[in-house]
Amino acid sequence: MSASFPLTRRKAGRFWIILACLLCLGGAVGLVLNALSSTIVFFMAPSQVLAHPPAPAQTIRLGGMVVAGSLHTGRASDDTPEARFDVTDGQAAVTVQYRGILPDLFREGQSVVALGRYDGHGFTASEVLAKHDETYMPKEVADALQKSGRWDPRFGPPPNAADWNSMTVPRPDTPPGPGAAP
Amino acid sequence: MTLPAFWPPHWGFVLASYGLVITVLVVTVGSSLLRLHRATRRLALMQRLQQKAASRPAGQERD
Amino acid sequence: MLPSPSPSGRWANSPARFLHVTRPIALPCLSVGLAVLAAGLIWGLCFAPADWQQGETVRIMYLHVPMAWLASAGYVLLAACGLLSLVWRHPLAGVIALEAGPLGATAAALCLITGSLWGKPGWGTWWVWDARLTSMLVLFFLYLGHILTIRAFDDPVRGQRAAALLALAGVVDLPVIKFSVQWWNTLHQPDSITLTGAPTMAMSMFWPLLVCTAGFTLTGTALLLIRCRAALLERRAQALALRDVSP
Repeated sequence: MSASFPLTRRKAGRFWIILACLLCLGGAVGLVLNALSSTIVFFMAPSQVLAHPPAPAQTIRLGGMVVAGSLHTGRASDDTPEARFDVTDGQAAVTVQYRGILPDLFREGQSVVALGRYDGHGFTASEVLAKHDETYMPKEVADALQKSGRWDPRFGPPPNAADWNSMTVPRPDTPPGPGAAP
Repeated sequence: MTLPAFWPPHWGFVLASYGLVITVLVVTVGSSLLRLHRATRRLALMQRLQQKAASRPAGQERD
Repeated sequence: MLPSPSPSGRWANSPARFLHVTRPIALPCLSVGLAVLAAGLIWGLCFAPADWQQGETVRIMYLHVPMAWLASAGYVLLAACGLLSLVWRHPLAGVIALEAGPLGATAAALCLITGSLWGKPGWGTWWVWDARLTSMLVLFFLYLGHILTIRAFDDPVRGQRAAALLALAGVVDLPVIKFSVQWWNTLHQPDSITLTGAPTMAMSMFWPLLVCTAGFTLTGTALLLIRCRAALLERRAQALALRDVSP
């Protein structure tokens, strides 16, 4: 580097000035981001909402996993779909009411982000977004994993990708193996 | 748009993204190659003119 | 644009050397890149499996992820060129920065658009102002600023220096993009492929993604080489034309 890009005194001066400017800028941005981190956060977890309840008129985003078995859907008198479900972060749960069409990826055990208001008892959502996790799994593998009985998508995230092969090997007591999956 | 029954849901989003990216790619590759071709031709022309001007007696004007 | 003042000193003939070295590389690189890319895209579009939750929309990933990678890598290149032209006044750095800007901006725009096309069926929204999406949008605007700045001055060298400063200052956005999904709660999912951990992605999806990324990278590099060659040849022709008319 120093052989092909020699630093004469003037060049070294320019180099260090630029480096100092970059460090200052990086530090400033870091401090700003750190100070703003509570506003940059896209959503609040249920335990945060319960610990520091927002003003009833304030619109917040609530994020967490839909509790298995908590989803109740129905239709309002004007035929719009209604849904009620619990959102949890593992420590606390908040009940969410929503009128509207849920996104395709919405299901129990899936992470969601709901936009709405918290009145101290329940959360009334005006918008529900499905949050995807970082797992990318073919349908056949998911079916095989569920069939093998070692993972239920309603109760949490999928296992490590490295374990899929060993996990889809059928147990001796489960007759139809993963090969039977379509 | 009505989709054929055998199309999986959301196939339109997939086709839209592939169509967009491939179109942009074709345009970018095409325009870059065209630009290189033109630059090469123009430089060759300039070099020929230069040689002609050098071989001609001084004082003659080009164009 | 006026040709830059003839460079002097250590790298006086580096444009000529660049032209000489890249002449046999540029077009083969483009052909190989396009072939790899075609294979990867067909693999991703027709043969890779559908995701158990996202269904077919997972195929958008084979475009979205390479575009995000190219946009970030292109910005690193812009910043490196900025440093080279500010500190060492390297004559090639300005040319590469001038030509890399539009390519990187295209990649960033395609990353944002394909992401939006995934977001509608996936999340249920075209756009949210979460940290990952916003910082990527900032990168796109940094590219736009660079493209405008480097062309905004009558004296190309002054434009290069101003744009180089912008490119270097914008580097702070790259770690923000990369780590936004870890530092803050975002709607965007965390990275599936990391340098340290095992990918949380099926191998049947990982391989086509890798081939697509390689294809896009090779094609992008070839396009950059081709455009830099064209720019240098244009300058050379311009210099000859000017010499021709001047007595």
